[in-house]
Amino acid sequence: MPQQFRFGDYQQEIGTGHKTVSFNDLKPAPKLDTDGNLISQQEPRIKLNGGEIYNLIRPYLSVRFIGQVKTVVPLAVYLLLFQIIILRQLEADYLIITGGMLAVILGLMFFMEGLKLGLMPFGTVIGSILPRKSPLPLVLLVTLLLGIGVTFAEPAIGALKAAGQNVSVEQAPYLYTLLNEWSGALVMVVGLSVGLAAVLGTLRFLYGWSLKPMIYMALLPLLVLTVAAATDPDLMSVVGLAWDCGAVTTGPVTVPLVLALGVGIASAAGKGDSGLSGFGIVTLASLFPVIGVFLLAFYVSFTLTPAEIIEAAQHASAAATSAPAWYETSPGEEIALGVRAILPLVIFLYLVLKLILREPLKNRGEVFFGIGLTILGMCIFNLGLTYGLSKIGGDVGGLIPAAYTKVDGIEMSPIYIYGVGLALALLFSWALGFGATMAEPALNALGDTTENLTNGVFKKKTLLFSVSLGVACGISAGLAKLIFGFPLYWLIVPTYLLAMLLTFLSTEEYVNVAWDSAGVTTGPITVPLVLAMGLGVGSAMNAVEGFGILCMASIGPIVAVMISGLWARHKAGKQAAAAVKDEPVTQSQEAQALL
Amino acid sequence: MTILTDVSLITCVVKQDMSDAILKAALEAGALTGAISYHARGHGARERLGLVGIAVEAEKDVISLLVSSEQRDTVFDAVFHAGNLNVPGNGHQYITPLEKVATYVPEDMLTRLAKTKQGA
Repeated sequence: MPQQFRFGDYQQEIGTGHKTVSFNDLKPAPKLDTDGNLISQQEPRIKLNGGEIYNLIRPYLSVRFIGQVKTVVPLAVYLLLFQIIILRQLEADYLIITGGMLAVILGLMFFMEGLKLGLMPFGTVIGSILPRKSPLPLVLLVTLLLGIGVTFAEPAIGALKAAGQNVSVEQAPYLYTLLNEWSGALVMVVGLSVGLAAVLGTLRFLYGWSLKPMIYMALLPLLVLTVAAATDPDLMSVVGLAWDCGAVTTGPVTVPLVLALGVGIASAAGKGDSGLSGFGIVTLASLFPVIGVFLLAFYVSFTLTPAEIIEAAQHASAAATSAPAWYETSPGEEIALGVRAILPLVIFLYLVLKLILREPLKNRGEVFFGIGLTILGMCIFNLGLTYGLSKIGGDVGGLIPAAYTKVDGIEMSPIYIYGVGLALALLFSWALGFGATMAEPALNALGDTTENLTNGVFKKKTLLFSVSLGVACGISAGLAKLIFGFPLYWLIVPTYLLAMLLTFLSTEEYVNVAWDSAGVTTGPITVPLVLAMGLGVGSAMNAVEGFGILCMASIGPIVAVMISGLWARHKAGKQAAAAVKDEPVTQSQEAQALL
Repeated sequence: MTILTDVSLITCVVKQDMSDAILKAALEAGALTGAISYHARGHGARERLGLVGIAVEAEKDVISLLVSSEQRDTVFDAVFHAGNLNVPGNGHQYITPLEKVATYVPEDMLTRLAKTKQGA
C-alpha cells in the first residue's frame, strides 16, 4: 500500500529550485553613533553584469522599437507595393530608402523616449507649480513663449523647410521667398500663432468659454484672407502653404507640452475636472498659424515686388558657387537643424524652472540624458526625413501622374488609359490616408476620451472610422486639386463654411472632439510623407506648387466627425422617443436607448 | 459571520504590460477569488542603477491575491514565471500570512463542506 502525499506538501518540503537568502545579509547593518542616533549610510550603486543589463534593456528597447515599426513599416510597404504592382516601377535607390526608413524608426524612437525622460518632467513640474506660484499674466507669457519654442522643436517643421527647395522662383515668387529667405520668419510666425492659440485656449479652460464662438471668430477672417490671397495672382500660390502650416504644428512635442501647462493652469484655478478640459488648444493651434502665415505673406507682398525677389534669388544662386560650409551640406545640415530645434526649448524651460519657479531639477542625470536622446533622435529623424520619408513620398508622388498621363522620363507612361489611371491614383491616395490614420496611436487615445465624454453615445470605433474616412477623402480631394489644377480655395471655402454650419448645429462635446481630431491625425510620419507626395505630384504635373493636401486632410475629419456625431445623436434621440411611445418600457429597450 | 482562516496574501508588484498575463496565470493556478489590481509608481531601483535605470519602468501594477495557504506556493511560482521576475526591472512579489478573513461564503459551499466533514 503506497503512502499518499499531497503534492503541495511535497513541493513545500523539498523547496524545488528555491534559494533562500536573508535580506539582512544584503543590506548593511544599521550603525549607531555614540548618542544612539542612526548614522545614515550611502548604499553603493547596484552593479549589473552584461547578461543582466541585456535582460533589462532588451524588453525596454524592443517595445519602443516595435511601436515605431508598426506605424512606419506598413506605410512604406504599401507605398512600395503600389509602386511595383500598379506603377510597375521598381524603386532604384531602395537601399538608401531602407536606410532612411530605419533612420526614421530609430530617430522617432529616441526622440519620443527623450521627450518622455527629458522634456516632459519640465512640462509637468512647470504645469503644476507655475500657475500656483505666479500671477496669471506671467503664466500666460510663459505659455506664449512655450508655444514658439515647441513649434521650432516639432519634427515635421523640417519637412516644410525642405519643401522650399523645389519651388520655382519665377512661377511663384512669394511662395519661394517665404520658404527660403523668409523661412525663419515663417516658422517664427507659426510659433507665435501657436503661442497665442495656447494662451487663448488656456483662458478658455479658466473661464469655461465655449469653443464655438472662437471657431467662428478664427474662421471668418481666415476665409476672408484666403479669398483675398486667392484672387491676387501673385499671392495665389501661398494659399496652400498657409493652410498646410496649420496641420504641421500640432505634433508630438506641441500637444503634450502645451496641454500639460494649460491643464495645470485650469486645475490650479479649480476648473480642471470638467470633461472638456484639454480640448480646444489643438484646434486653435491649427487655425491661428494659417492666419499668421497669410498676414506674413501680405506683409512680404507690400515690402517686396516679385521682380525684386527673382533678382535676389538669381543673385543668391550666383553667389552660392562657393563651397557650402559643413552645416549646409546633407549630413551636417540635418544635425545642425536638430540641435537648433531642441536646444532653445530646453534652455527656455530650464530658465523658467530656475528663475521663475526656483525649483531644483529632480533626477538631473536622467533629464540631461533625455535631452541628449531628444537631440540625437531629432538629428537621426531629420536624416531619415531626407533619405527616407521625403524621398519615397516624392518618388511616389512623381510617379502617380504616370498612371494616366504622359510624364517625361518614364517610358511606359501613360500606364493605363486616362480614366482607369486617374481612378487608381485617387483610390491609392484614399487608401493611404485611411490606413495611415487608422494606425495613428494618438487617435486611439482620443477615441477613448470621446466615448467617456459622450457617455457612450459616440463609440470609439465610430470615431476611428469617421476620422479615417475624413482623412482619406480629404487626401483624395487634395490630390484631385493637384491633378486637375483648380485653385485650392474652391475646396477650402465651401468645406469650412460647411464645417461652420455643422459647428452651429452640433453640441459642445462634438465640436470639441471634431475640431481636435484634425490635429491628432497629422503626426510626424504622415505630414512629411503626404507633403512630399503632393510636391512630387506637383512637380511631375509642372504645377506651380504641391501644397494643399494636408489641409484637406485636416478639414475632412472635422466634417466627418460632426456629421456622424449629429447622426449618432439623431439615432439616440429617435430610439429614446420610440422607447417612450411603446409603453411599457422593457429593460432591453431602455438599454438600447442608452446606447 | 463566517471567518476564513489559513489565508495568505500574495502581493505582486509587476510591470504594467505584464499584469494581464500574470492575473491569468494566477487564476489558472487556483487564485480564483479575491484578486485586485491597481496602479502604482515604484521608487528605488531606478535611482540606484544609474544610466541603465531608465530601462526600469517606474509605472507598476500591484496585484493582490488572496489564496489558501495550501495554494500559496503554486500561485507564487506561477506568478514568478508568468512575470519573469528573475529578470531585473520586472518587479517583485511577497507573501503575507493573514490571521482572519471575513466575507460572504455561498451557502452551497458551506453545505458541501459540512457533508465532506461528516463523510470523513
